[in-house]
Amino acid sequence: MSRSNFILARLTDEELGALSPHLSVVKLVFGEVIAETHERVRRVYFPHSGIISCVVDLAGGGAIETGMIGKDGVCGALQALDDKISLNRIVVQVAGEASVIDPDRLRDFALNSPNLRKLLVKYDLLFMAQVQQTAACNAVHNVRQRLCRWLLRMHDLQGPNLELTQEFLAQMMGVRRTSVTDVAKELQKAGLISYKRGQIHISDVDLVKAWACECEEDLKMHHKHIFDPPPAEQF
Amino acid sequence: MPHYLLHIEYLDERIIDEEGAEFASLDLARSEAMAALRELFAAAVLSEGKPVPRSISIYNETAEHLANVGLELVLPKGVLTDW
Repeated sequence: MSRSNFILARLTDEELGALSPHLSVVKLVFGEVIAETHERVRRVYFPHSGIISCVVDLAGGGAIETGMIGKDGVCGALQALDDKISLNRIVVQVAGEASVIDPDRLRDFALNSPNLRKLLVKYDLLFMAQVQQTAACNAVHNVRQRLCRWLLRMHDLQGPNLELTQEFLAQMMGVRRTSVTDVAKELQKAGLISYKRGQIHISDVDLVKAWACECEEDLKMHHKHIFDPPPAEQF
Repeated sequence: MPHYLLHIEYLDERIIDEEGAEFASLDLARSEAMAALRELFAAAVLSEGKPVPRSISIYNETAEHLANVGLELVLPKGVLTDW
């Protein structure tokens, strides 16, 4: 089961074997707050399924998602290596399952495993790239492009059937719910998705890709460069 | 809390709000409709060819029409002179 997570899957059998007694599997429950801003991170999550979001709360009462973590990543690892404080709110956006470990145990393992340490640093680099891309995307791309980008990412992590309300999507994207209503109808009419009260089905992922901005594809390139670079670029 | 539906009205089409949202009062639903209409108008202005919404109609769950928020309420005076 642990191998469903990209980071854990990259450990050797010996490394994963040593880590396994300290890992347990938990359910990720929709809406569950994993950490509040400036709160101590109590567990490090390696999702097998589901999605965890990093959310920045704004003074006016709004919130916006700045990073998304799924089976391709880890949540709380960098905090485990340092002071264990979360810098923003972390919430389960899509229910699923994750392997979890105590931050101090992970830190001990990372100190003794160059491979694990390197994987955690590489993922943090990718996560930083995701946050930077999202900042650029939110500043320049329109709601339709951003929603399609977001759907592409969800499709990669969860498949074509998503349980999400427009209210939630709007919060994640930092727009008003009515803007999501408007764009969702446009996507529906063009055959990209079907939507019925909280249930989104991605009908044509190629069209979603065509309507999205370039951000998700750029991130996939970053992923390749970071985790599978050509020999000349390896560090 | 009462549940309101905010339908978007274009010149030749209505985008139905199937989900709706809860607001403590009709005034708060109206405020949300005004902010939403501003955002939709801005998106239309910034896009190439996207139609401009004319208004947002507010309904309750029993399909009773409660209010209408038109562009004239959210745009500065004079913008719609030639509308």
